[in-house]
Amino acid sequence: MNTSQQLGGAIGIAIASSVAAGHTNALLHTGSSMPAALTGGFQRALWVLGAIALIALPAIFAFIRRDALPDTATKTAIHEPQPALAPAS
Amino acid sequence: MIATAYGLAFGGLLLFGGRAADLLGRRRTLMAGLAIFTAASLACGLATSDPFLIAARALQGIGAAFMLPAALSVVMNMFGEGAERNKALGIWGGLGAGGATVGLIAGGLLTRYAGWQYIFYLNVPIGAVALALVPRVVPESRRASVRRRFDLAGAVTGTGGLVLLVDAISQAPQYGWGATRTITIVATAVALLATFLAIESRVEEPILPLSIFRARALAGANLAGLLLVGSFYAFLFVGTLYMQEVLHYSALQTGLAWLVASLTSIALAGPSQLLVTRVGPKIVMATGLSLISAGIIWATQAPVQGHFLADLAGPMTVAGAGTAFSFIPISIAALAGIKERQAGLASRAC
Repeated sequence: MNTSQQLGGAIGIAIASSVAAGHTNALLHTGSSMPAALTGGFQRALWVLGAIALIALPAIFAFIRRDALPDTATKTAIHEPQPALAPAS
Repeated sequence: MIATAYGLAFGGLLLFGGRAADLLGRRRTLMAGLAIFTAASLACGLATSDPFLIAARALQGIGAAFMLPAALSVVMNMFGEGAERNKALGIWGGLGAGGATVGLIAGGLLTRYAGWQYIFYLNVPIGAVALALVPRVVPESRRASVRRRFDLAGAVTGTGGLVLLVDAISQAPQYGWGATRTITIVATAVALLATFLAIESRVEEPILPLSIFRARALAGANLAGLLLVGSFYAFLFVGTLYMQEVLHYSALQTGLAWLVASLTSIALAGPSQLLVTRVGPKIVMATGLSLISAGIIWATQAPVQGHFLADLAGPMTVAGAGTAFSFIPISIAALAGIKERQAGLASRAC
C-alpha cells in the first residue's frame, strides 16, 4: 500500500514536471514572457493531475465490491456490546 | 531528481522494509530505519553539492522504508480491525496532517532565518529521542518459524526499473521523447520490471507477493492510493513552484498558504473515520478523490497575476478536504489487506 503511494508520488511529480517543462518550453519558443510560460506549463500539468485523480473513481467502483470492505467496519460495530454479555454466560 | 530521490528510494525499498519487519522483528527494523534516517538527515544538512544531497535524500528514503512498515505493523497489532482501528488510523492521519502543518511553518521559518539545512538538522534530535524511546515502548516481535531469506534480486530489479522509469519521464522534455537516450532508458526499465515480475512469481519469499493482486478490494485500494498520491503530491509540488517562481512567495509564505489545505484536512480527519465506520471506505474514498480532482482542476484557473484569496485558497481548501476523505479510508482498507497477507504468510510457514 505505502509502496504504491510513494511510487505514485515519485511518478506523479515526474509526470507533472515533465508536462510543465515541456509546455513552458513550447510557450517560450512562441514568444511568451517567462512568467506567462511558467504559468501555462503549471496549468497544463494541473489539468493532467486533476485527470489522474479522476481515474481513481472507476478503479474504486470496479475493484472494490460493495460488501467487501464496509463489512469489517459494520461487523465490529454490531459485535461491540458482546464483551459485556460474555462474562454473564 | 532532488525532489524524487527520496520517494523513489522509499517506494522501491518499502516492500523490502516490510519483509524485514516481518522476518527480523518490528522493533529491530524500526530502530535500524530510525538510525539510518537520522544519520541521513544530518548528511542532508551538511550537503554542499547536488549529487551529495540527492544521495543523502535517497538514504533518508531507505531509512523511512524500514521505519514506516514497522511502525504501521505496531499500530496494526495494537488495535483490532474495525471501529477501534479506524479510530487509531484517523488519529494517525490527523497526526500526519498536523505534523505536515507544523513542518510547513517551521520549514518556512527555518529556511528564512537559519537556512534550509536546519530543516534536516531538526530531524537529528527528534530521531535520537525516538531511538531512545522505542526499546522502552515497543515490544519485540519475532517470527522464528519463518526462514529468513531476502529476495535481493527482486529488490534490485524492482527498484532499478522504477528509478530508470522516473528518470526517463522527468528528463524527457530536455532530450525529447523520441531521443535514443529516452527510448533506451524506457526499454531498460521495462526489461527490469518484467524481470522483477518473473522473479516475484517464482521465488519462495517474494517481496511483492503477486497473490495480493488477486484480492480485488486490496488491488483497488492500492490503485486508488497510487493515483491519490500521484495527483496530490504532484499538486503540492506544482503549486509550490507556481507560488515561488511566478508569484515570488518566500518559503515561509508558501508554507503558510498550504496551511489552508492541511488545517482543513486535520479538521475533517475525525468526521472521515466516523464516516468510514458508518458507510464503508468505498464511498468516502470516492468522495475524497473527487474533491481532490475538483480542487486541482479549480487551481488551473490561477493566472500569472494570481492572488492567494481569489485564486488559491478555494482550490487548496477543496483538495485538502479531499485528502482527509481519501488517505484515511485507503489506509484502513490497506491494513485490512495487510492482515490477509500476514495470515497467508503465517499459514505458509506452518
